[in-house]
Amino acid sequence: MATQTTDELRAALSDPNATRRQLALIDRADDIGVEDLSALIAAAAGDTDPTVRRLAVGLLEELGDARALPAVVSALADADPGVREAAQSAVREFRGQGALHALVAATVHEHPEVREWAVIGLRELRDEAAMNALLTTLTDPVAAVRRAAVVSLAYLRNSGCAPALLARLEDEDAGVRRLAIAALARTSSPESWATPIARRLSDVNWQVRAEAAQALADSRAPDAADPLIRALDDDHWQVIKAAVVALEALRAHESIKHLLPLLRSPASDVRRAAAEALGHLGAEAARSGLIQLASDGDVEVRKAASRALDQLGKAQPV
Amino acid sequence: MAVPVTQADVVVVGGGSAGATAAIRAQQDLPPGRVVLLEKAHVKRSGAIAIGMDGLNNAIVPGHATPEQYVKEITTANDGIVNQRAVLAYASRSFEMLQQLDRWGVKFQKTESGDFDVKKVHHQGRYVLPMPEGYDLKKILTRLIKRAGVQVRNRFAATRVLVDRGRAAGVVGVDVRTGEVSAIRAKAVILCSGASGRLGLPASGYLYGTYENPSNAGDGYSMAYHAGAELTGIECFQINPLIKDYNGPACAYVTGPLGGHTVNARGDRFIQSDYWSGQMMLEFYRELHSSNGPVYLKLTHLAPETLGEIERILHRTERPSRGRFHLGRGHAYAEDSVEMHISEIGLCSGHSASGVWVNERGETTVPGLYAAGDMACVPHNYLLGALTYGHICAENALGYASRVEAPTDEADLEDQAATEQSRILAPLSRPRGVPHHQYEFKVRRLVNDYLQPPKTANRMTVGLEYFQRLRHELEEVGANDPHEVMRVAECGFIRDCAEMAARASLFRTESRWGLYHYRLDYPESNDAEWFVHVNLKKDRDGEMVLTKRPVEEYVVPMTREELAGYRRLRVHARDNGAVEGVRP
Amino acid sequence: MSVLEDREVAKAAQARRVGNAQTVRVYDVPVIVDLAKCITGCRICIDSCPVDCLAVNPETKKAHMRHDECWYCLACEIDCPKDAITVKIPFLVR
Repeated sequence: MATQTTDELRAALSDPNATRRQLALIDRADDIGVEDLSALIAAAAGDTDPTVRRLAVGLLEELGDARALPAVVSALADADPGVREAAQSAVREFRGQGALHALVAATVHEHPEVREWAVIGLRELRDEAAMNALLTTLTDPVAAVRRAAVVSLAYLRNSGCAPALLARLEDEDAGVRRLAIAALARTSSPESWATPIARRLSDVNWQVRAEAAQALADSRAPDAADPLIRALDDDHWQVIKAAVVALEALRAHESIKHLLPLLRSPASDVRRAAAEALGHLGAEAARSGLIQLASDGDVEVRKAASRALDQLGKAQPV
Repeated sequence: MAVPVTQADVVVVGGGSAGATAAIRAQQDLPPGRVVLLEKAHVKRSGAIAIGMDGLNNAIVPGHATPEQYVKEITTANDGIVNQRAVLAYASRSFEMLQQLDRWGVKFQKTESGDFDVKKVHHQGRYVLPMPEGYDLKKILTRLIKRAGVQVRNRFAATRVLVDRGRAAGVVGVDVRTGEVSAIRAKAVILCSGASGRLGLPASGYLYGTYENPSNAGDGYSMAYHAGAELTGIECFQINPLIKDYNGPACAYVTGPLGGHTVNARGDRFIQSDYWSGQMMLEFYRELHSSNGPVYLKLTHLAPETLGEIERILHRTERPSRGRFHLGRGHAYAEDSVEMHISEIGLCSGHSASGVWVNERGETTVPGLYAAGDMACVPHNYLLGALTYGHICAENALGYASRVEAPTDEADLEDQAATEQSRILAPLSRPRGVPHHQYEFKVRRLVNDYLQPPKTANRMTVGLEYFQRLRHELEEVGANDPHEVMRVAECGFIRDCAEMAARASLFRTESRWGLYHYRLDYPESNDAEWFVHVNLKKDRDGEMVLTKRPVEEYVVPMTREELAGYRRLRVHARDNGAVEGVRP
Repeated sequence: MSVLEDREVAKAAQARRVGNAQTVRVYDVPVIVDLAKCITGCRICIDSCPVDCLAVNPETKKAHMRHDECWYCLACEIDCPKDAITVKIPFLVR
């Protein structure tokens, strides 16, 4: 492969023929160095051919030099989807103070995809200096930006963000609500979120309801038992299963009579979870139901029932 | 014609996962260019994970699992026959490598607060760490290799290790584009050539429709063997559950945490085993051949949102073409369960436990020769094991190289290189010889006929005769260009692996590891006689000899209950799985 | 021995001496390159292929699948900067 110098590359990049410009970048790829930075930046931002721009952005990612960020950021708003995809990949590979400033500046760009990916780019930097910018993007008019913002903020693990995240539990976008639940559960103490997240057990979206149930498993909040018991009637087996697991984690013995019928749920994962929970809760009333599960068609249910019966054998009857 | 020589301090054979971390680590302590990395393809798309990987199966993250817990699970999964020190070395350094990968920009799935999102799939600890964006893994490793200053030789297929009075002294190989044979001399050689993935013939008959990257043709197994190193566990085959015909992984580690089930034709889960093992595969095999078969991956009970998530992962990384396979058949996860099947046999320590014998420093039994990844026997070490052991091998190789003198018998080494040059290029003198693909089809078909479990001595003995006959038939095979020269060399590796597989399987007169070494003529396990490693090597006369190597005392003690665990499972499965024609 | 048996013995011996003959067989291959999009002189797919089965077609000067040795891994398709490649599942497999 012909190795070009950086001057040759620069000259080749002004060739009127797009294919030759593409080849120039392809040929230079193995030897690309920081001396090619300005030529690449110019090509990424200004070349008329989308393949050239896409190749240039890819090479800027290879170099990882934060001076390329403004060009990568504008490529996030490129008309061509291939170039945008290359920029989305590239934007996450920059580190350091230079990257931080460029990305923070991009969080207020007029184009929503730019804002979204700038927020994603900030994620692994985990720099508190980005917090204010991220808090602002939490109320962005575009849901995709807000979804990204919830996660990037949560990465900072700053419990000062809790009030802002709590507000997102009422977001109009289900994805935002779901991410906010998980973010709160992992970054703040349950006192701050147990009650509002319990309210999400009656969310219109099943994934939000399931996420809420999962979060409540770690809440140590006795008040959560009642709404979780109501969630056992959900039309989605995924929500029921999560609620069963949560009730077990909360040691909610009052739920036992509601768990018993779930041993006959049409969903095998619910039968399994119910068997496990009843075993751990020492529910003697479950004994006959568990014994019947010895002939369940699903091996995981049979195993769970067998283990639960072992536990009942050891525990004091409840 | 004299064979050109390149001098290096360390030579790494294979630029996949293990080779990448080995080369990067070795180059850190050496002047630029003194680490040579040889790759028969191109490092940017090489090895078992040429298109990335959708998750780590055995990450040991503090808070989710401990190294000791992991060692116990592997010991149990491998029916007690493990070098625990070697497994513990992986387990103890696994997290450090994970953090290093994270710093390098490899994208692991994280929770909303940025912690590693480890999932529970195994019975005890939590080890599964998804990587839905694992499609850029190769890009990142390639960048690091380049930045480290490693001297990379792409399209260079190593074929033999040079040996100086019993010590590794470099490798010989052929440029797959120019056909030039050359030697790389180094005091330390790290073999990272991957699994023996073209051993059995897939049911489709398509030679390259294998589970493993077909370039992983057992090169390293053969090279280590001819260098005089011991190999172990060759009778413990790799047999995987795959999507039928497509022959790609069903990805239980991905679909499992998201709610997918492996079911029989009635739609019921049936696998008693709690962990991936030969025992689990035996259950799978039995169900497949029972009136409850075939076996399916069932996703139809999952919500559309979850299916979308699964597709986004499975159709973008590791084996993304599965999407178009299903579409071509008119199948969709929402409506159709995916038919599964059992793969052709292979040899691999990523998923199973056969490979070059190594200790906890990655040292083989030949001084100066190291091995890492799928070809080095650290049972079930998978991707993270390959990455970690690449690093471990390099550390030790550096120490070794700094301590020993360079080989002095130049004449003998030149002789070895010249002999190897004649051997590799000989097929070019037979342009009208038997084409490599016909030879290969024949070997692999015979592997299926005579080595596919359930095994018997009668069948394997007949097979062994054919594999030996194939040694002569190899001399009829011709080549017309460097690509075919490489293919004929691979035919040699494949034949060597077939012979090793036959001899090792014949030697161990008991059954162990579920389906992997299931013998109809010795259906029981016999710990009294066979609680040992079965090792093989090439003796001074060039013969393949087999020996028993005792299992070293465990460094992570197992209780009697824990040890009995795997036995109980075998008995249970045997009783449950009694099927006509398949004697328990 | 009868005439038939003699013939078999003689032919078996002759079979070991007669040498080889070959034919040309055509294989349907999985990788299809759109010649309108493929750039002459670019070797990205040829470099990417893990099994070395792509090469420059001397007639078209563009990439093509030279050997039916495909792992249907999609490296060529993914890495092609012009989206010129379509990988089909090999006929024996699909």
